[in-house]
Amino acid sequence: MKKFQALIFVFCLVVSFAFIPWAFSGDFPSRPIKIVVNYSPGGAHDIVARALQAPLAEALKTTVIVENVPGGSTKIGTTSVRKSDPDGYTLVIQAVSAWVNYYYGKVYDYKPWVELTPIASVVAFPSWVIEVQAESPFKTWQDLVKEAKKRPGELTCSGPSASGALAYGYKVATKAAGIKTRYVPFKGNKPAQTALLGGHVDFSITGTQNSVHMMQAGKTRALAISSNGRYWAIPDVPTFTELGLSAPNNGFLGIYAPDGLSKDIAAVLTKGFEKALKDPDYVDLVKNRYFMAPEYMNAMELNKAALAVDAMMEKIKASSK
Amino acid sequence: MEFMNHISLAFSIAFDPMNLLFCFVGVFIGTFIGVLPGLGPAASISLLLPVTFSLAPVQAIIMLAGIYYGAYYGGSTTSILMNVPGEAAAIVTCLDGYEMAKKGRAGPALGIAAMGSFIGATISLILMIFLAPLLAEVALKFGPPEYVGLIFFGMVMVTYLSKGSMVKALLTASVGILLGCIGMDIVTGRERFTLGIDTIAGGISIIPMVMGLFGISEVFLNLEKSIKAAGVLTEKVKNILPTKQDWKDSAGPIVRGSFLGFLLGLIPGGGGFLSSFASYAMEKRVAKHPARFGTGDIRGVAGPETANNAGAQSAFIPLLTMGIPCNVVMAVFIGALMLHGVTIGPMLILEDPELFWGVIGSMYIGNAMLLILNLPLIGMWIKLLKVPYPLLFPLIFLFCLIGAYFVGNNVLDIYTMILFGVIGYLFKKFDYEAAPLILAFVLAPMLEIAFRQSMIISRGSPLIFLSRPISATFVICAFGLLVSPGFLKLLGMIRPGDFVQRSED
Repeated sequence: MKKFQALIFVFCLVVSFAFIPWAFSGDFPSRPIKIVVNYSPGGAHDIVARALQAPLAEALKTTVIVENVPGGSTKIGTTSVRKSDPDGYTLVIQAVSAWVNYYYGKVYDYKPWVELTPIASVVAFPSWVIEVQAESPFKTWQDLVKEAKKRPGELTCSGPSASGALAYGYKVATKAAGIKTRYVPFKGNKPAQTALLGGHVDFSITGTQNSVHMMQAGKTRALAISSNGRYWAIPDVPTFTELGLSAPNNGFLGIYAPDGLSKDIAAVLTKGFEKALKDPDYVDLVKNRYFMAPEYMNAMELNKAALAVDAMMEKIKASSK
Repeated sequence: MEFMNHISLAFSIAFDPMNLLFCFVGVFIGTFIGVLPGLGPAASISLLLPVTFSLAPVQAIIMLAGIYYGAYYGGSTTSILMNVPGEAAAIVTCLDGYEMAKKGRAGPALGIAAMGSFIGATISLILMIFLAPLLAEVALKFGPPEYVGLIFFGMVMVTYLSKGSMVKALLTASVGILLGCIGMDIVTGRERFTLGIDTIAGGISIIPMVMGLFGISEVFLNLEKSIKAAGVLTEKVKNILPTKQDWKDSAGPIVRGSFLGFLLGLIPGGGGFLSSFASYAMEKRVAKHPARFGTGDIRGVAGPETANNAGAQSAFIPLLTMGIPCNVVMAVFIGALMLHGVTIGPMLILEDPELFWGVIGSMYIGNAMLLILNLPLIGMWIKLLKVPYPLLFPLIFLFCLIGAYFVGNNVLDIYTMILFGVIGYLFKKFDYEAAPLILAFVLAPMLEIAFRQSMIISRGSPLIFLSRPISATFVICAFGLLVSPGFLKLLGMIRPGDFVQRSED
C-alpha cells in the first residue's frame, strides 16, 4: 500500500513538473493550440476552423484543437478567450462584422476587435447578397431603388436577426442607396430566405452560400453583391461599388488572440496561418463548398480592415440618430 | 412517378451501411429505454445528442429518431408484463395488456403490440411520403401571420390536450412562455431577462432543460421509492404469434388505429400519448361487447399500440416541413437539428432531400428492425427488467451530468439541468405536467417573432390575422377551443370510466 502511495506521489510530481517547461520555454509552440469557435459545429466558422486544423498543425509543428463554445451571440467564447492567458495557445475565429454589429447592439461592452490581439485573416467572402424572388418585377437593383423611392417605407426586406452581420449589411446598403424600407428579422438566413420564396417580403439580404444555391436552383435572382470585384460563383451580379455605392466589400473571418500576447509569438502564429492557407485541401474546401476565398491578411491588415468596419458602423449610427 | 422517386431515394439512403448501423443503434437504445421505466425518449435523446456531434447530420437524425420510435415498442413490454408503463403512451396498454398477461396470454399481447406498431408505422409512413411534399408546398404559403395563427392554435391544443387539469397545464405553459422570453430579442438585437449571465444571453438551452425535467427528476423521484419486481410475469411468455382469432379481432383496431394515430400525430400536443388514448376510447365505442375491455381484450392492446406508433411517425411531418414541434421529443429534435446545422422548414425537402427522405426511409427500416428486436428477442428485454435500480439511477444521473456539459462545453448548463431536475421533481409531486412547459418554451419565441414580423409587415395593424384566411381559421378555432373546454366530450370521444382495469375475480 505504501508503495502504491509513493507511486502516486511520484506520478503527481511528474505531471506537475511537466507543465513548467511550457511556461518558460522560448520555442513556441510546445503544446496544442486551441481555436475557439463561437458557434455550434456545422456552421461556416466551424468548418473553416476545422479545415485549418491539419495545415496549421503542420505549419506550426504542433496539434491544433477546435473547441465549439456557442451561445451568448458569440460573447461566451470570445470573452473566455479574452480572459485566458496571452500565451498564444488560445485563439478565436470570428467574422469581424458580426462582432461590430453585436457591439453596437449592446451585446458586448467592449470592442473585441480592439481588445484582442489580431493574428491573421483566413478567409474572405462577399459580405452579403441582396436577392429577390425569380418572378419579382425588380430586374435590377435600380428597379428596386426606384420603387422604394416611389413608396418610401413600403417595401419589406427579410434577413437574419437584427444584431448579426447581415443586418449590418442591410443598414449599410439601404443607407448608401438613400432608401427607406422595412427590415423583417428572422431567426437565421434560411428562414429569412424562405419568407422571400413564399412571397411574404419584397427582397431579402442573405449570405453568399445561400444565395448561390438558390440562384442555381432558379428560385431567386441576386440584384447586388457586396464583394471586391465581380464574384466568380455568380459573375453576372453587379457589385455595390459598380452600382456607385460606397459599401464595404468583402467580409472576413479573423483570428484573434488574448490581449498582451508577445510580439514574437504573434509573429510565429501569423506566419503559421500564412503558410496554412496555401494548403490545397483548405483552398478547395473553402472555395468549392462554401464559395469563399482563402484570402490571407496579416495582423496589421486585419486590424485595419476591422477598424474600417467599425468606422462604417459608427457613421451609420451617427446618421440614423 | 414522383412518389416512386421519393421512395427510391429514401431507401437508397436508408440502406447505406453506416446509416443502417446508426438506425440499428438508435432503435436498440430506444427499446432499451422504453423497457426501462424512468428515462423517457426526450431525456434520452438529449443525453445522447453530444455523442452524435461527430456524425453526419443524416446519421445523427436517423439514430435519434430510432430512439424515439423504438421507445414506443419497448414501452409496451413493461406495460404488459409489469403493469408499469415504460413511457406515457403505453399507459393504456396496461389496461388490457397486463390482464392478458395475467391470463397467461402475455405472448400474443406482446406479439400483437409489436405487429400492430409495425403496421401502424407502415401506413403512417406511406401517408407521409404522399403528404409531406404537398405540405411543404403549402407551408411555403405560410408567412408570419399564418404562423401566428398556427402556433397560437398549437399552444391552445397543447394545454387542452394535456393529461391533467387544464388550469395546471395553462400555468406550466405560462412559465414556459416566460422562460422562452429570456435571451436575445431578434428584432432589436438586445438581451432580455438575462441578469447579465452570458450563458443565457442566447436563451436557455432546451437540452439541459429537458434532461432535467424528464431525466433528473425521475432519478430524484426514484430515490424515494423502490420498484417492486414482484409483479413481473416473466415465466409464461410463449406463443408470441397471435392466433387466427386474435388477428380477426385486431384487424379493425389496427386499421382504425393507424389512421387515427396518423391524424393525431399531426396536431400539436398530440402524438403517441393522445393517439393511444383516443384509439382505446374509439375501440370501446365501436366494439360489440365494450364490457370486455379492461379484462384482457386483445383489441385494447392492438388499437392503442398501433395508434401511438402511427402518431409517433407522423409528428415528424409538421416538424420537418414547418418547423413546428408537436410534442416534447420534436422540440428536442429542433435543438438537435440546429446543433447539426440543419434548418428545418419548407425548404428542407428541396435543399436537403437526402436528409429528409433518408430519415423517412430509415424509419421504415427501423420499424422492421424493431419487429425482429421485439419478437424473437423478447426474452432478452425481460431479463433487463432485473437490472438493479440502485445501480441504474446513479448511472443515469452521471450520464446526464456529462451529457449536459458536452452540449455546449459549459458548466452552467449542468446547473441549469439540476435546477430543472428539481422543478421537474416538484411538478411530478404536485401533479403538474412538464410537457406544456417545454412546448410553450419552444413555441413562444416563434410566436413572438412571427407576431412582431406580422406587425412590421402590417404596419402595426392586428387585423392582418383576420384578413388572411389561413391565420383567421386558426385563430377562430383556437378561441373556439378555449371557450368550450368540453369539446372532446361533445364529440363523444372520451367518457369518464373508459379507462378502467377490471380484474375478473
